[in-house]
Amino acid sequence: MIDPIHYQILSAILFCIGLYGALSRKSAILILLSIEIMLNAVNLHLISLAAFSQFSQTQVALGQSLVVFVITIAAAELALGVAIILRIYKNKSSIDTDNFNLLKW
Amino acid sequence: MNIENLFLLIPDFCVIILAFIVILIDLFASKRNDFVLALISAGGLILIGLYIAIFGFNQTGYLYQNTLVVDQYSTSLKLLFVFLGVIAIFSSKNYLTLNLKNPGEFYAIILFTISGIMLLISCNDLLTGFICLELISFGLYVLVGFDRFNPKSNEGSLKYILLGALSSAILIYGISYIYGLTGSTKFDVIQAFFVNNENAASLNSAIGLGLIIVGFSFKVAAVPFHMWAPDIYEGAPLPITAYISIVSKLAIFAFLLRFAIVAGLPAVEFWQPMIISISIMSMILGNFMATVQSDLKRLFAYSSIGQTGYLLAGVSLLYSPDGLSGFVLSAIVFHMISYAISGYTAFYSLILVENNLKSTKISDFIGLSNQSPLLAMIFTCSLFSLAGLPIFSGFISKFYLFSSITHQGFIWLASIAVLASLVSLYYYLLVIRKFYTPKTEISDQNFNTSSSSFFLLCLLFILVILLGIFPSYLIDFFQTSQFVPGGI
Repeated sequence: MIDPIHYQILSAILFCIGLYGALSRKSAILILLSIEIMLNAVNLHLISLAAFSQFSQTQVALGQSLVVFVITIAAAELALGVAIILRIYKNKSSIDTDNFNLLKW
Repeated sequence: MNIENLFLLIPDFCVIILAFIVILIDLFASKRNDFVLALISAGGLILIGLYIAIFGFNQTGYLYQNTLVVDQYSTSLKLLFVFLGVIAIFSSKNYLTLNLKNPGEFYAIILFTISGIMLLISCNDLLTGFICLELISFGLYVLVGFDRFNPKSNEGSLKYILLGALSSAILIYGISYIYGLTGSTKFDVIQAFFVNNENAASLNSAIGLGLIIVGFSFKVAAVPFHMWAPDIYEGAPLPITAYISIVSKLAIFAFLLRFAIVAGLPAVEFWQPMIISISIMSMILGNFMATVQSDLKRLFAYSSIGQTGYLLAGVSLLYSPDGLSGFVLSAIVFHMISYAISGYTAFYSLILVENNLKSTKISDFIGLSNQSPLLAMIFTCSLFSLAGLPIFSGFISKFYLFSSITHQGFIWLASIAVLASLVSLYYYLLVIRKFYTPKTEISDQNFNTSSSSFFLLCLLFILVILLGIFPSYLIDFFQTSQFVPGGI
């Protein structure tokens, strides 16, 4: 029997995987992808909450529309991020975050 | 919803229309015309500001099923942010002509972020607030990287978008927990949930509020989530540094204040310890790290982390046994305004200096008072105001904020804040000493500043002094019961 708590744990695990990836990866593209994993963990959490809680019709609809907003924002963020990475690749021919060391301290 | 209420959002819509007009003019203009674009965007903003000042205070109400609220609080802060937007546009004009391309897009993106800010401070709903926050952030990601062929600017932009997206993910995860508990993202429903439910103090609500606080701390650059701020402030074009450190930070604070007051006040015991510890770390670390900086942009970054600490200390003490403490609220808002004005005076002076010297290194400021005595004097006074010396607005606002903290019984917190602002006086004095050190070698470089930019600088300077001498008009207004968020 799958309970809502299982979905919560799954989304928490996904979120932590994404967080770990975002903090440990060196390539800028992979960091962006890890952030996408985090946002999708949020989506999973929202859908499971909307499906399993004793919510009224409008509350369920709110949860599902939240998911649509999160997807939209994630897409916009990814597009902008890739544009910026493309710019930096043209200037430095690298997207390895270890090479971006002009700004520190 | 009822359609008749839509007129409440006329100023917000007008800013968006203005942004599109600026883009269109830039598209059809045959050659680059910075002055006209700046004049149109700033002039339009001034007209919108006048509209808000004349009609805004009588028009209040809720919109879109209570997701937006136009009340005295949001109207007066809209006025402040429109004013700051005008200053941001004028202060970037010369810098833009000298260093950057595509002025039309620059002004249009600034206008889009201002429209996001104006909506953000009237948000009464976490989801709407999150989207407005993203609208501001997306504009700022682009603006930080606006100097396209400068590797520093690229790098700052990349760091900003990676960490900004990370913080947004954390914030929305927190919001999803709150949704799971209350079935809504509206502030009044969340407040009702905390008031009515005996078992509201569950693990889930602690996780949700904690994640939201972490997300906001990222956005306002509070320690320990501040590491992006100095890098991005250094990499961004200078007017954008000023814009991020003052306008966008204060807008997020205005939203945070409304969230804390309308939704979070019944759950104060959850977030108070967390915010107090974040604020202590920000005050101490921000001010101490600023003492070792050699670049004035990074110094301002750390000093603005310190300012975040003072404001957060106020936010943590909003609760008093009989509800909201109006004293603390008025102190926070007054400190926000005073920090905005004195911070912009300092940044504007820095932009004028940078246009001539092409450097923001502190060691390059030697002999500034010989080259331009008036500029050095105003720069000095604005730094004194940020440090909190008397007759300037920074003194009275810090005094008022710290005394409100003491009034709430947290004398130890107030004493930490006072000690931290003593440290800030030390590093500002190090900078000021450079201005008045005579230059050993004679340079033939002459110092050009246009009289119009000097006029605006003097206007800001007069405001700093006026706020310092006559603070009571503003404070009396902030203490009225209509000014409380949601008080209409």
